[in-house]
Amino acid sequence: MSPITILWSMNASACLTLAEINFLFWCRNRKAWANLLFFVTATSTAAFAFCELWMMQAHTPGEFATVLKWGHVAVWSLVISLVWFVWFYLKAGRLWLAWTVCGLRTLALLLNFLTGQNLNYREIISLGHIRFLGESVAIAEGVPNPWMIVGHLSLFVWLIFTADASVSAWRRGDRHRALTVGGSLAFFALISSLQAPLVFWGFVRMPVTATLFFTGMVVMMSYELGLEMLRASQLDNKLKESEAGRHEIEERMRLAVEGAEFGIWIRDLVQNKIWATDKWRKLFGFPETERLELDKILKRIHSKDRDSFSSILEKAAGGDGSYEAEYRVVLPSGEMRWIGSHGRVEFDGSGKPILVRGVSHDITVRKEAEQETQNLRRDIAHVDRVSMMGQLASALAHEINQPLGAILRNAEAAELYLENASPDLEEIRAILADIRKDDQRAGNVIDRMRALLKRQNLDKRPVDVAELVGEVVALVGSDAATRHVKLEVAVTDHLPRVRGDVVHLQQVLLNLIVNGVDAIEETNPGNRRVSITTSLDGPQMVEIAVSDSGPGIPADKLASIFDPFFTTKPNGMGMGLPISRTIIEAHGGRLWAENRPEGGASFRFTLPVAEEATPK
Amino acid sequence: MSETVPIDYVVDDDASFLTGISRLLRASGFSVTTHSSAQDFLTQLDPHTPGCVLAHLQMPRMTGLDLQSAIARGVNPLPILFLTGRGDIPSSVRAMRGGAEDSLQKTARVIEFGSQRNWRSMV
Repeated sequence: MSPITILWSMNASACLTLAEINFLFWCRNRKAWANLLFFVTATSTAAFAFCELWMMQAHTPGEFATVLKWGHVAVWSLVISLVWFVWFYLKAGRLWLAWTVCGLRTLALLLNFLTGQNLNYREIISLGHIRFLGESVAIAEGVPNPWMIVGHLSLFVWLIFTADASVSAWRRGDRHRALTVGGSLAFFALISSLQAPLVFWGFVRMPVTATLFFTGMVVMMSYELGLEMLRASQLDNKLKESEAGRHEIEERMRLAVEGAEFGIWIRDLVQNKIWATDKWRKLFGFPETERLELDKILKRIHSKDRDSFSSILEKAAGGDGSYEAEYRVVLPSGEMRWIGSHGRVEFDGSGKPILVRGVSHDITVRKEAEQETQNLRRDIAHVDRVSMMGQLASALAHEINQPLGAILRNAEAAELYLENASPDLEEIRAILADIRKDDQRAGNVIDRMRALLKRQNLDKRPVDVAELVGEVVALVGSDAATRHVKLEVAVTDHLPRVRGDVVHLQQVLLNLIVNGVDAIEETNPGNRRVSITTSLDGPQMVEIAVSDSGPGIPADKLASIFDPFFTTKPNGMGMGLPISRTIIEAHGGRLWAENRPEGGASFRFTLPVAEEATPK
Repeated sequence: MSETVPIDYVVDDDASFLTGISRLLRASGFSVTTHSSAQDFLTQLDPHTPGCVLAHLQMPRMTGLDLQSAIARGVNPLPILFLTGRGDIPSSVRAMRGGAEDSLQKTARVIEFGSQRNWRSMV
């Protein structure tokens, strides 16, 4: 066999082999359009290789002309597939240029069949023979077909299209593809579009060897696609590895969650679906098959906790997204359990909540222990108070003797007035009013003692701080005025309401203000002030401070002023501050004392803000 | 030296009791001045006016006993009679040792009260 036959046949079979591989790949992966287009390109190249070989070995001008005519079909499909290969593979190029190439090439194909013997020759008159690669090959000699210019034009536009697409891909940063695919295609397109006119217009006597250039393109394209397929398979392996890793992580998570007895629930706000683990379903008493809905879940929550839980969820959706809650759940069996849960709301790009993830666990044991501790504490406090009864009884005698003594002296005075011939009735009326007042005072002392001894539960409700301060200040106002002490009240505007027992809170505030007024008596009359101020201490607490312009608390006494029976007052029982502190702590707040830098003492206490459903 | 009327100085931190006792003493024909604290009394005490002091034993800060020693050290050592809210025996003993005329419960009967006032004739 001649070298030309071997070379062209090898070219063709190599192209067909590559075509087959890519065709099979496309069959498996129908979205791999680049592989399908490559299959068309390579097959067309193989077909054209046969045509070229045939032409070189043609015996008559007619045979040459016919083969060339049918060879143009292969060229047509080759050019069209290359255009779209570039378009899909480089994801670049101008669409109008692509369609122009296709249009011109199709026009050339039509002209190939409609004018002359084929697109290149109006008529092939004779065959010449030249030496090529050491053997004699046939070349055509005849009249060129002027319509051939359409074919050249299509190759020229194709060159521009490919170069333009490569430059775009390069600029975009896809340099490797731009160079190997775009660059090589443009290079081979340039050579073949130069060779064709030179041969067909008769400027150069040589056979058409476009196959060699086309094969060059096919090899470069195949190399690129091969790399691509290799990458895909590596990616696939990596994916499998990472999936194995993910599975491992999930498994560990599951173990941890099960070990910690956590129940997980996820609420998809977009599709309005709730998913939960089996543990979570057990916690809330839902069978595994039951469809979960928010309403059903809320119904499981104890009626006293439901509103606050709903408002916590709403707050989380409006705030930073995380929430924490403790609430009771009542199971269908009637069993009640405490649930502690915390979770997070996920937002989309526009800040709209789309997903809520939550973790819940059973805190019944802890809650019961807390409850028990609280009961115990209350019992102890009660015992403490009962053991104090001796002290109290003594204090009670003193407290009551004051008004009783005043009543007695007033009554005696009135008797003396009445012995007069013309008694001063105004004075007697004033005496009677004073007697009534002192009687009430004695009654109040007894009531207060009784309240102190009685084991009382706190009746907590939302309390307006401004009202609380106002009422107490009104109560002690006249007493302070007679002692020349000015009460200054500065209540912050729009303070949230606090949660507490108003009677107990009044008692605390009254105690602190009276302490302040007592402490102040030794200071100069010009600066006798007790100020009551309020402020917000974080979002959850309100702080109330009672400060005086008195001498302050001696540093060595600061630590012990809250001890029972500690007192600086000759008649004090030393019970006011410890009881006040107990009350504030039972409200979930703190009570402490400090000396102000500008002089005087300051007693401060905090109270939790009342959880109120925010108005919509 | 002009004749000055002796005065009953009543010192008590309880405003109601102060009003009640001063009414009684005035109705009985005495001149009375009232003081809500020992300090108040001491700053207003005239060194030359005779009289007697009726003081509450248990007062905040300066107690009746403190007042007693302050008066004893002063230029006008007036006799002092203590009033107590409750029968506090140790305090009463100290008061008597300190030279108090007597110590009386605030709720003592008027006869008792009146008879104890008789010492005033000795002044």
